[in-house]
Amino acid sequence: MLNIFKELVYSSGVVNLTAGNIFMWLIAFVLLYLAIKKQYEPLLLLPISFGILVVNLPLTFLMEPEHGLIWFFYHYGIEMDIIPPLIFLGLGAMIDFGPLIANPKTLLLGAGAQVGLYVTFFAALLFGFDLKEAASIGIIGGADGPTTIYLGSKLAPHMLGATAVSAYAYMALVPIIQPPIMRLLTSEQERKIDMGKMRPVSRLQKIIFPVLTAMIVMLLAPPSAPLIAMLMLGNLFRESGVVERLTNASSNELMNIVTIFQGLSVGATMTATVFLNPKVLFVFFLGLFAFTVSTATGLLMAKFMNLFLKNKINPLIGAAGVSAVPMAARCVHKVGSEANRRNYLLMHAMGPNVAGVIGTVAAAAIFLKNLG
Amino acid sequence: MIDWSKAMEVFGSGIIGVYLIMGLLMVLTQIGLKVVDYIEAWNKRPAPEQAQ
Amino acid sequence: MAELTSPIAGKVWKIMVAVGDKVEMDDELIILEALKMETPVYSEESGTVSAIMIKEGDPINEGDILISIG
Repeated sequence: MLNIFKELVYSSGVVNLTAGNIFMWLIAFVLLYLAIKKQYEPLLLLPISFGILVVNLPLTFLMEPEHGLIWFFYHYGIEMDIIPPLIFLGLGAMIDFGPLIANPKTLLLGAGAQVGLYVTFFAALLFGFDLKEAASIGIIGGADGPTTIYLGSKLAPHMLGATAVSAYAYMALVPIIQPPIMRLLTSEQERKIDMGKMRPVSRLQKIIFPVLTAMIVMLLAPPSAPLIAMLMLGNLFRESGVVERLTNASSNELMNIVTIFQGLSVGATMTATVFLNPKVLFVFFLGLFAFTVSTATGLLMAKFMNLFLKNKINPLIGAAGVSAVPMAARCVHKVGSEANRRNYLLMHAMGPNVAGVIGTVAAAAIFLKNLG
Repeated sequence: MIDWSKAMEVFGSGIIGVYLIMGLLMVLTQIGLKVVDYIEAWNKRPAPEQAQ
Repeated sequence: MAELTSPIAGKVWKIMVAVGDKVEMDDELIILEALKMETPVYSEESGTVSAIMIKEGDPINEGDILISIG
């Protein structure tokens, strides 16, 4: 009788618990709280936090290679690069590139914000990360979840959980992180600049754009192909107007399905043994640094462009060059309307915002070419 | 140890590369806009003439 | 007679005035919703609302006439 009881105890996970496991539970609980109560990116944080919780229950072997359920999700979805491009297909089907096409100069703002990502790359090297790790930390500044995961799984899979979670967490915190930097780097006068009406963009122009962009970006940076191809295919679905069923399938059902597997797999990479080392925790600090610097370089790029432009742009929209669609654009609009309440920057900020998505993919592709 | 020359290469080629891609995309999008504007203006022109 | 046009594309979220209401310059007349964000539209002059061209929930484009004030 006693023996049966003993066996039950020893085969249970309880005796194999480590302090690290319990600490990871706490992290999972905090993220669950943020997702459910505060609704910070709940679609992503909820599966991620549950993934963290379940892999830190000992002896479940959910992440055991060739054996565990979530390992299969991770292996086929993330390691084999299936999920991030599928999410990009859905994103493409949702994004309206109209504001960007109406004002192609905003593409340069999308590039401007990526400078922050390379600054962070350098900073991470100084803190003792190696080249590949530093690149996957730098990309956090692009504020683009799928790209962060795509690059992270190739260059530094051991830090994937940390880089992905910090990218998504800071994206939710954009309304808190960005405004102080915006106010610091722009004058009241600049924030008041009214950009007027946006020129109309015809259907033909919207159809040409994804085709043209796919060709150019893939010709110049071939490693960007999986992401850009799917992003622009989704957008072509949307703008062609003839395949509404495919547009809806990409942006709703397919997107929702892969979001579940992405979140769960990313969360499940965060076992106590991998996650709880000071280096990984530093990723969160550098991630915040990346967001800050990217915002700043975006703003500075806009101010720099104003030196040459006759029709001045409102430098605030440079801050929307970090992707974080559409949080960064909303944030720009809010700060702009504080300075001048008749200032409607929302659509003008969507230009650099969607350009930022393309810019981040380009930056990731160049990292991959050099380091992959 | 970190290979700083490689780091500089990644840093430099990254920034230049991103600006190059986005800059080229900007120029081509602008050209595309102009061409489409022109085509659409040209398509519209005959219509009122026929009406007269 | 002046017309208030929409500064942005989106949806009409709330209409804060009715025909016949007296409005002042800078009053909040309409709240639009774009990208899940509420954006107020302010009156450009003082007068009386003579007509409302839209109703709550309508999708609108930039430049559409929302309200006329006379």
